[in-house]
Amino acid sequence: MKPNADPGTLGPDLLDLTEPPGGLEDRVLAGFPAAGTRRMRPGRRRQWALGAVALLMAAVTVAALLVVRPPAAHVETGASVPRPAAVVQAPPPVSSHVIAAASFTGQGNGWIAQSAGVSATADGGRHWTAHPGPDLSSGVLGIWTGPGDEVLVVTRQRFVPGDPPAELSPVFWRSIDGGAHWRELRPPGGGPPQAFQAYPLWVKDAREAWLVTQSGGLDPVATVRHTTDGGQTWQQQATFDVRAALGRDESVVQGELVFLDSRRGVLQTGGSTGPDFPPEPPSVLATADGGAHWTKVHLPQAPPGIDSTNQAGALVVPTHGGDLALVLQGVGTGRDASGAAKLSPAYVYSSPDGGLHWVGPRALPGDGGPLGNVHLTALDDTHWWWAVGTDVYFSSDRGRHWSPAGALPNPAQISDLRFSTATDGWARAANMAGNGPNTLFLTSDGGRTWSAVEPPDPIRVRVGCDAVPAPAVTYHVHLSYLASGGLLLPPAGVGVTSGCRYWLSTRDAAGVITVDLPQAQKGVVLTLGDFLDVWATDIQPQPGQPVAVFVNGQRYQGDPRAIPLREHADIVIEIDDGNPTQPPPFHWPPGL
Amino acid sequence: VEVDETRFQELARPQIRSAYRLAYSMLRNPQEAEDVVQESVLRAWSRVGQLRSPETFRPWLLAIVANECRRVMRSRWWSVLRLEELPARTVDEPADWVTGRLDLWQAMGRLRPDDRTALVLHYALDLPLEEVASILRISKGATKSRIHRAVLRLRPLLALEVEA
Repeated sequence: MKPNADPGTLGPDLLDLTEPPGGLEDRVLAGFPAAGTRRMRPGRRRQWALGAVALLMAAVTVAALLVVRPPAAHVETGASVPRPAAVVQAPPPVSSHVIAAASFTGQGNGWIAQSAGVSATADGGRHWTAHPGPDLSSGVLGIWTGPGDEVLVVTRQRFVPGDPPAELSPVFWRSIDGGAHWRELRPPGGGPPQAFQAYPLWVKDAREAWLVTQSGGLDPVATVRHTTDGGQTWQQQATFDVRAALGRDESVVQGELVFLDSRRGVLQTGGSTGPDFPPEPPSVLATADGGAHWTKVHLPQAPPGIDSTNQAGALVVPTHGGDLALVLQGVGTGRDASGAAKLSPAYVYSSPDGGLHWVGPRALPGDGGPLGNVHLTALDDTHWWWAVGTDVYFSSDRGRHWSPAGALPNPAQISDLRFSTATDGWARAANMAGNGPNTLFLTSDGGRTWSAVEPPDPIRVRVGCDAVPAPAVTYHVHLSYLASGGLLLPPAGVGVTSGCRYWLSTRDAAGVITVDLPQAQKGVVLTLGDFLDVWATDIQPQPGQPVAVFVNGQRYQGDPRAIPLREHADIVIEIDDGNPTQPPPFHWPPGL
Repeated sequence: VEVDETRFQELARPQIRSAYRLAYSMLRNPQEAEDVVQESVLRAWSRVGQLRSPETFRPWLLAIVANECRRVMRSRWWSVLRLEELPARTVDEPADWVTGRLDLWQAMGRLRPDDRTALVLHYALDLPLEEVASILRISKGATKSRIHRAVLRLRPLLALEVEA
């Protein structure tokens, strides 16, 4: 029976589509923490009274802040800053594995962490040395180097159901001999599964870090822990009541954390929305006693039109000291070319006194870019860099004014950038939207120009990339990938860079691969593996997963990478439960 | 009104399947959907003091689920390879029924997540417009027009699928 979007049948069809797996309720409630009795929200009258008190306190706070700080400055139009000039160059070498974290200290000395392991270079990536030891399979939170030969890798620990449940604290991997030997260190205080999110963590360098943990269950008491030896030992710096700190009935602390020293810290927590949650903008808490007491600080109002209730944020501490920065970005309603949601333009606040008072907001250049982390980095008060998409901007006055610095080659998407000096910096980037960060770039002129770094495991792309394509032969191939019925098609723009176009490329997201062969390659038969290399994507199934490959409706036996890309080949790779179904043929649009 | 663990589970258990359907329709990945439901239930418990009355538990929980789904969608944008998965097929399902379900799944995938959410809440979970509106945090009128618009968008997509 074909679905027809008739409201009369849509409901049953959607029910069929979203049928939950068996035993769902038991699994969901199995990990439920034992807890005491709790009260529902107080009555309306009490709410009014509480609201009036809160309003009065807010008014007093605002008045006090207005006395000591001028009103929020006019928001300058960061979006009007011209974009950096586009860079035209050969496509960068792409890593076979996602580069989950990096740290470069200048003069070509750097470290990267991938799922395949940790590697270091002393010559800007010409040579890499593998440093096995840390288990990075569950996710990398970051890598920090120095002083001396000290290296710290922090990994995420996923929630693992069990009895007792696995702890949630991050795992520290510490080396004091330049990666020759590693110690696995687990901070104390991890708790059972009420907090699926990672605990707030701030790592200053390879030695010093702060972590906020909770003992589990619904205990609202959180502990601030501090290490000065890369996680070998932890001091209990302070404890605090999460509900009192947040000012709401929320027993789990989450958010962005920084500590400037053992006393001054800032915590930015996300807002919440919902019919029974009053919309709450993100709140910023500051402590001056190591975390025993937190004060909710005033954040000047975001400009009209910015969604202030559901935001991504980041706290930035300048490496060499200076104003703290807080970047916020609301979830906008716009869409990028691929149809993905875009964030609203980002804004930055700065704090000269360790987070007690904030000025701003100031608009950041760019249109918000795709969903993801915000990429602001600061060296001191006169060196701020902001990256969005491929573009890098520079500010010498803490974000008041921005100028284009440089750009990475299209279509790279910057995931992270840092500067160790006013001139030396590095950036991690994805080679195209939709991929994880798999390229590395270095700059030695403050971000004006960027040179690609050869990763330790580069993908060797066999097909050429022509600056001025002049194909002697052009034809098309269709590729789709089914996993338990879910459909994946290559995105638009595979094989298209700012400087050249590969012999294999996609113009839209319909799964059609265009093969453009120059005269000299007229008789060459390229393979699916060639296309996957250009795409920098591995579509191999997990070990043990049955895979069925169809070419023009016929089962194909053998390595999918070896499938020849012949004209109008219709390739379907299907991962299924052992009962693959022959896919319907692809209907070629006229003209292809 | 007291809500202890037992009472909370009594309230939550009947809503878990609806919560999963909502999460699955938004995330289109069964593992992520189940994770989100589990997390949302625990978040609901940690915030149960904010619940006004047991009668509002369903929209309250589903709003938490929707928020968690949005958070997951925001955080996974750079996933190397995210596969959307259909529910497992059973061998005795007619082939055209399976194909039809694939058509609907693909067509739903081309709608905006919020449009998908509205359709699932209203048609699959049979929630009244007022409840859908409160979960989506938009007015009843806007909810009605969003659902209407989503159905209109879905029709040509399905027609294309069928023709193809």
